Amino acid sequence: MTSSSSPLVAAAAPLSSPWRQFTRRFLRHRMALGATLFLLILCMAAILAPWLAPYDPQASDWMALASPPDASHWFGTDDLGRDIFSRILYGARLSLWVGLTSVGLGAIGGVLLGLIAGFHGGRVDTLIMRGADVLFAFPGMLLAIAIVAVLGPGLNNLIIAVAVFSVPVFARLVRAQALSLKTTTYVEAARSLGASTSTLMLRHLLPATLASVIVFFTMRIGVSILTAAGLSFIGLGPEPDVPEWGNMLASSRSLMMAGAWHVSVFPGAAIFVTVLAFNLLGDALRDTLDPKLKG
Amino acid sequence: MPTHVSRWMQRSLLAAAVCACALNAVPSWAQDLRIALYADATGFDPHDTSDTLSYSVQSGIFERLFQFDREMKVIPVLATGYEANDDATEFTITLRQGVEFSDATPFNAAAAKANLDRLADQSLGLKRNSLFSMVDRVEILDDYRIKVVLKRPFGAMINTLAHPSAVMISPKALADHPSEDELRRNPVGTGPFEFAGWEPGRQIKLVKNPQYWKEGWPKVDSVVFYPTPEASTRVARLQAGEVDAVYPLPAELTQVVERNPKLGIARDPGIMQYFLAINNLKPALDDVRVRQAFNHAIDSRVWLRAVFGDMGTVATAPIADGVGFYAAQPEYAYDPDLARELLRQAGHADGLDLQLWTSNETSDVRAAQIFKQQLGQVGVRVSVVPMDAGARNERLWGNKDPESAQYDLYYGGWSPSTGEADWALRPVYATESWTPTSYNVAYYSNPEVDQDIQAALETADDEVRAAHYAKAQAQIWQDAPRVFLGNPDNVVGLTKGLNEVYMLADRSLVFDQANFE
Repeated sequence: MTSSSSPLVAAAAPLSSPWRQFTRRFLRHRMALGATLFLLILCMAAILAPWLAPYDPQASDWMALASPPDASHWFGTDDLGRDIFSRILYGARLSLWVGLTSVGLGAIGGVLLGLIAGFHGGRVDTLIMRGADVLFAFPGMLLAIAIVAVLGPGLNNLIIAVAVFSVPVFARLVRAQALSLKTTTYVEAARSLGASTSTLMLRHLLPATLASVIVFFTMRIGVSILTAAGLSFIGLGPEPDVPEWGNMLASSRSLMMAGAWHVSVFPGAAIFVTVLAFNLLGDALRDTLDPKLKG
Repeated sequence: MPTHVSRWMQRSLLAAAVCACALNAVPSWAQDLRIALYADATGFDPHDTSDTLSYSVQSGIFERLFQFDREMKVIPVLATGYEANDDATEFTITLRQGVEFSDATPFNAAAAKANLDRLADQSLGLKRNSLFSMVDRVEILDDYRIKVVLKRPFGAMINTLAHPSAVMISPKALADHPSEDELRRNPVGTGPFEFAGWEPGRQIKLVKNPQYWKEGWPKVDSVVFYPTPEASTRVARLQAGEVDAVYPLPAELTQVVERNPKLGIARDPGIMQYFLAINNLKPALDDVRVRQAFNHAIDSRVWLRAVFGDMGTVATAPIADGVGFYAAQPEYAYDPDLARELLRQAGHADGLDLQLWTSNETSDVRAAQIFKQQLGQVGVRVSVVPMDAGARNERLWGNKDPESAQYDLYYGGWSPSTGEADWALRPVYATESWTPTSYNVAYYSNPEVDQDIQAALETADDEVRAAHYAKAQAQIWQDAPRVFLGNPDNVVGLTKGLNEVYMLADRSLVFDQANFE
């Protein structure tokens, strides 16, 4: 009973102890704090990019092509003489936007399908989960490439592609929880009080699954930023002059051998650090949100 | 006893070592030339080839009647000379004696006729038949003289015979392999090398032709080509000593190779002219003021610096300055204000929205971004659409109905492999050459230009031809069917000590006189 009673407590939020427990655990987790701090700074930088960026991300200095970092261009300039630091700041907007919206869409779709499958069972369950299995059969990147190939390149299609391959992951996660939760006493109680199916699913089951969904959501953002950058890198993302991190890597890779290390190192590092931060945050959330762990 | 054995062993080892040294001291002349290519060849029948890379590989196996030297001057190879009548309809060609194909078939008038007949036979559907559509018949005058009779005057005939497709294939090979599929895998020519094998995607091997007619050549025993599409991998292989030459060397990696004391480059002026084709049939773009505005809006010097490392020349005529009958034109100065004014006069004060198509290669995408930025400054909003070769072939080159062509701007280049004005102008500016028939993808049409291009062909008098070509170039320049960009240099990367491996102006690779110091 202990393992299933905690979600019940979490669902009935007014009791302050789980939240306090969570904050206490989270604040003790140094890695989590570091990652959160970094992501907060990144979000601020992305929002304030037009004011923070020293240059127009599209403006070229034709006399300074691929020039190394110096006082005027902190991260140097790229193959067309554009300021890399400014482009990374603007790129953060795109990457965060793509990461959040695509995983958000994927999560909404996946959670709903997972709830329906887990709650109803039977044919509906089979239909949804076999569909998810089909999507699972493709490696995520391959599926995203196929979707973009059909829809055509561009930022919005890229978001859709990443969202679609996130759906089955969330669906499977939520279905497993819904399956075990729907037989718990509190759900049975609500049902016997005459709660409708939608009330049962959305008021009683959904909140109980949220902890793991949030953990997964955070980790998934890293994956989706990486996939989006990968798609841009192979030319399936937004137009080539858009300061997307994957785009920046693609246009600079031929310069790497020519000794211009900075053109690929900075966008590469931006992707690396951001994905790492989301993954660390996800890990930390899993550790702190896990009801089985005792504070 | 053990000491004896060891002493005996020591002595024999010493003897063996001395022998080995002596053997090594004999200079070993067996030398291989290894070349990294940007793609694989498509086959080994030059009559049915249209890409410069395959021509380059084939040039080791086959020779032509005439050829180009490093300065793009026509020189006789399997021919020794020619005479033409005044209206350029009959060309009498004297052939070189004492030449054999590598299968021991003699090269003579009958062999030359067999090849020219094959090139001229429009029913065969070979890729280069259209280049020889003006040939009516080939007559054998004696064993080493032929007369090429044309259907209509064609002043550029000798340059056309120097085109890399106009090679002499062994008549025996032609008879043994009637099917094109077999012939393209079994090439036999008179060249310095013989074909020794092709593993598609991996390597092509040529070995020395021991019966080669030029005394003392070739200097290398074999040539192996490795298709290596990624530019930085090509250079990495050169640095590691896996290959002796890379074809071509991309501009951004030229400095890396030059800085390496073990490597060097061969840089020659090119005749490939890059352009931004403008779809002359689209509303707005059919206005000459708009097209001239684009020419003033784009700074081709910036393009040359950012994409080709400043190696080359900017366009000063609708054909490259190395092409025969080139005539310089007044400059389209970079002048955004003038461009905006021209657009305003044409009624586009609030700008235009256009699509720019290009290949998805890094340097082409880079160029496209420059155009987008510079056109943006005069109010022309451009969206760049990078495409792979398949999509371009289908949507651009394969488009059957000019009126329905979707593109507005296309970034590309044209290299006339005959080295003279007709093949530089006719396929890209004449009305008869509208895509998909040929390569006039701008759908440009001006009857006066058509007339001059045709008139220049109808005489063998170079002065008259020059006058017609000068007039055509001036008119095209003024009509601005495309944004004229420039003519980048051709660069090959080499290991130090390797000589005579370079690119001809038409971008084909020359290696028949390759030698190591």
